[in-house]
Amino acid sequence: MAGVRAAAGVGADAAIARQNDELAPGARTGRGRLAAGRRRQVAGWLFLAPAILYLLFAFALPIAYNVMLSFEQSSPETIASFTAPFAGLANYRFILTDPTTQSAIIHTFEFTAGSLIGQFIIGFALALLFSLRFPGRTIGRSLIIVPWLVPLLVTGVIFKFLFQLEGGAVNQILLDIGLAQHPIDWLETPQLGLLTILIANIWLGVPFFFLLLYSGLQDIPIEVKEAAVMDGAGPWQRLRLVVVPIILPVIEVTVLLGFVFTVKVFDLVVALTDGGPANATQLITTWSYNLSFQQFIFGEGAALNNVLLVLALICAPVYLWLSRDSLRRSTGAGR
Amino acid sequence: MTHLQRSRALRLLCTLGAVASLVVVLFPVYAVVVASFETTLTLLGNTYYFVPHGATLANYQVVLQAQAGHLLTSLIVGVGTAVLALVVAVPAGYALAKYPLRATVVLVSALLVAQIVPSIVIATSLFKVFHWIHLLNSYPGLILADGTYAIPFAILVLRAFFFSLPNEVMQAARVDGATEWQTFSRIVVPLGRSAVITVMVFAFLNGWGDFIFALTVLNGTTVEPITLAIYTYLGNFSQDWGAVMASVVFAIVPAAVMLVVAQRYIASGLTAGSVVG
Amino acid sequence: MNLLEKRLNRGLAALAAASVAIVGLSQVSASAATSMTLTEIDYFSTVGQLKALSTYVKQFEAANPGVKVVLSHSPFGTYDTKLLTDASAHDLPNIVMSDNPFVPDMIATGEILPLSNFKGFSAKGYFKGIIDEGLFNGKYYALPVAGSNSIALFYNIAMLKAAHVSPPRTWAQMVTDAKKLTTKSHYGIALTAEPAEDTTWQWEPFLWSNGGSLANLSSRPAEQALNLWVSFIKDGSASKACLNWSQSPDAIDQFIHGKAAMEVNGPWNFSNLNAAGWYYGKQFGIVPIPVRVPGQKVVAPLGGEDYMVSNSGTKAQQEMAFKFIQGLQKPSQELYMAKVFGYMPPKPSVAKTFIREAGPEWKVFVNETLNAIPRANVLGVKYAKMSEATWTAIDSAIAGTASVKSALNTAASQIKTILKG
Repeated sequence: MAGVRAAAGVGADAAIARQNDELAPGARTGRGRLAAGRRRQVAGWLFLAPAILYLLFAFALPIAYNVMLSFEQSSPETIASFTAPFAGLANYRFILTDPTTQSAIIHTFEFTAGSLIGQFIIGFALALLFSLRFPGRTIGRSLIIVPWLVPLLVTGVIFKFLFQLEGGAVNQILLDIGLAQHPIDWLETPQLGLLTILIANIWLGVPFFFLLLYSGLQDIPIEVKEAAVMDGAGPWQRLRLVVVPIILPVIEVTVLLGFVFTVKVFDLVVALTDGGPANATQLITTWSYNLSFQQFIFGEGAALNNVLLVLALICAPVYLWLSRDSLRRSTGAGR
Repeated sequence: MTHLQRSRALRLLCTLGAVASLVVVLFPVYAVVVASFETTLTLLGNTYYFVPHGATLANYQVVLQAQAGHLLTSLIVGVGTAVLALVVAVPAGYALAKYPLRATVVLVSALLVAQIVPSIVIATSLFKVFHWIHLLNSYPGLILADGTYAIPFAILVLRAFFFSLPNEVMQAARVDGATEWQTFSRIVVPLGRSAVITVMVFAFLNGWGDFIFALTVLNGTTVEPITLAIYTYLGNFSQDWGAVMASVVFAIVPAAVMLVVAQRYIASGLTAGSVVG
Repeated sequence: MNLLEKRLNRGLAALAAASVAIVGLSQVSASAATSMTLTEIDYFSTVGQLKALSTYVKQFEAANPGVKVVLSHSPFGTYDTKLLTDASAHDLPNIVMSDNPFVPDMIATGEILPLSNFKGFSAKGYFKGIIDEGLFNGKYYALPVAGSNSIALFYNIAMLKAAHVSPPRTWAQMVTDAKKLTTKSHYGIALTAEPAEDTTWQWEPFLWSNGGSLANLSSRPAEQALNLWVSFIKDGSASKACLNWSQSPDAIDQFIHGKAAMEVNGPWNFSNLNAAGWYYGKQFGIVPIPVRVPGQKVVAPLGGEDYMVSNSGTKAQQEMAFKFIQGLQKPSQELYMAKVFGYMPPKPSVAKTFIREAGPEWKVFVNETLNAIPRANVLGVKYAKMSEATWTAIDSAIAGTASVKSALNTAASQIKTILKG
């Protein structure tokens, strides 16, 4: 697991990188080498060309076009045309006043916060458990990532099946052990609907948290653990004072990426509740889809998209900062 | 209790804890498999059976007839996404790792940010753009869109890997008179095999599991991958859980295969995602 | 690990090769014998509907050698959205089916061809309400697929007998009956409340018979009608899962599978009921939709679908598509379609024969269908939006997001804006 090491080593090897800069062939000078250097520049750009073209086409263009759309007044009649009449700030005014949009934004915050807390606690607990030595840990460790491999839409379908009102497995368990007297209407009640998509999302996100935190734990030097034991620290103290501070960088990255994934969630909700009942489980993503592709008001949808984009990009500076060493490592060999 | 007994008891406790958590984690998948063998009548009933109750293969017959074409479509999309990701990302990852270009910092930052962009934002615009350039309802259109999941990640993972190649390898090739392209294709790519496989596995799973682009840039008549087909089928026959669950079994087969065949690439890819670079 | 990688590489390469080969093959085989392929889309789902259409397609293909018609069926709940998306992509199938209240929206996309342009088109001889569904700016754009229909109350004879109740005539009876008919294994009634047109359509007879209208939802009649539905949920005599149910197949399947004793639905279900061994007078009975107080007249909406020709494809394809639709308008074909679909034929002359030959299960439906009210004829494209506001109100009240009154008030103010714009 080469990459596993790297997870903990965010920023560890900047010094080596700098050293290697000097060894990098491109950094050398000399008459004969100058032409070679230029040739290498050209080759480098050629190697990059497909990626640059792709980024412009699949990211820059859609984002720019989305901004343009958000200032247009679109309707079913303008779907087929590339542009529509200018709308000024009307679409943003809609975002600020429409009650369903407001509740979708609030639900997104609740959903994201709930998911991160649930995924982190369960993922971390599992990571600690599997760091201990016991029979079957290797196979168990690899089975835990199963939920992550299931397509998101399929996860939604599976949970819809499990949380059915009648004949659903969850209700059957609750009835069997006497926790409920009547089947619970998970998917038919606004608050429970939100809870159900939260549970499904925690299920599918735990493997990611587990794997990252687990690999972080593996990178704690044994000497550190032993020293803590010798100092007579109890398990809780060891966790709080030794383990957490050491893997803090990993925790930061994991939570950050978890946030980015969760804010984007779409497939799961579409399959599980489709934003229902009565739009009570719409998130920004699903409601934006509804505005654009079901009501065909692309302008309003695009405006909401921009809200989502800003929300997601809030973490960009943090992300870049956490990856700063990797960024600086512009040439030369790393590890 | 002796020290030995205590540690043995502790280990047993850990195993029990691990088994309990695995039961919760894996139950949904188990339930799918059981349901795929149940009759519609059983599934429509008010009772949920934890073990198969009157097993039948009827669901699989229905699904093989109705969904075989969609599975093939998903296979094409998955392979297409993997190929696109390789063509774009391998050279780019190499260039960003080994060539002293001024734009590197800007590009790597752009790639990091690109991973954050929500797909719905891209999908809304791409629908209109594709409409304009006639790429709606086509394999190339869908694969180009699915590349947005895979490509930034792939470039960053490959870049991180290529850092670890010693520069001497490439220098030796150049001294032997190899061109830049020859160095790349004959020396660098073969050496980067394991990273390339990680990237391929991820890109394939991205293309296979995609739903949002299938929903937006396809209209489900010409090209319809399995995710979209399951969604449509559920809309059409929401009482026919048996057939839906049999489709779901097929939809998670590639994931299961990958888990067995390519587990280490998946694990390393998952964690590499957090450093990306 | 090296071995694994190799195996994996080889596996993926083989997959890629296989998929390329299969795509190639399927393209070759598609272009072999047919000289023209027509695509079609509809939301039909019952045994009868599917059988009638595929039988007609076979006849049509035999009469037009080299022509192949590919039918596709898409779920009702997302059907209108799908049509609009296809229209926007200029990628509608050649032959487009639409629910009658949505025809104005389809014409508004500009992707539907006026039928008056085609040779042999005639708008004569139809019930006015039906042929006018496709009338826009003096041109006809649509022709009926199989005629028209409406809805009434189906009940399970054995269950009613067991609970010692007779079929309800009023809302109060309906509420008490539903309660008595609810047992551990089934509900008293199955409602339809998915977020789609069929929910509005199912609720309209309650609203209309009580003197209400979509244009004025913040009124007493509307409140009473929605209270009735919500009371089924509150009493526990209807499942809240109806929020995910379409009228066909979901709600009717609940009835057929014995999970609900009563269900409002239409005659197109006869084929499915019969296929499941259910016959009128033996296993199920039908009464008109109950009214709030005795003496009120039942007002039910007019149902039915139309076919249109899209501007996709070549001129020859468009003409062939029209020929396909035109073939359904022959009296003998109309009679056949109506019988197998479970619809009332679209022309009075054919309907006469149909009524004469129809079985007792049609007694209630003949009357209701002949007097049924079209939903969109005056409202045009506004109807679809008003309907959406209405079903959202129904769902909010059932889910408990809002009270009946506030849900209806929200819808009423939305509808006010729609009617203004």
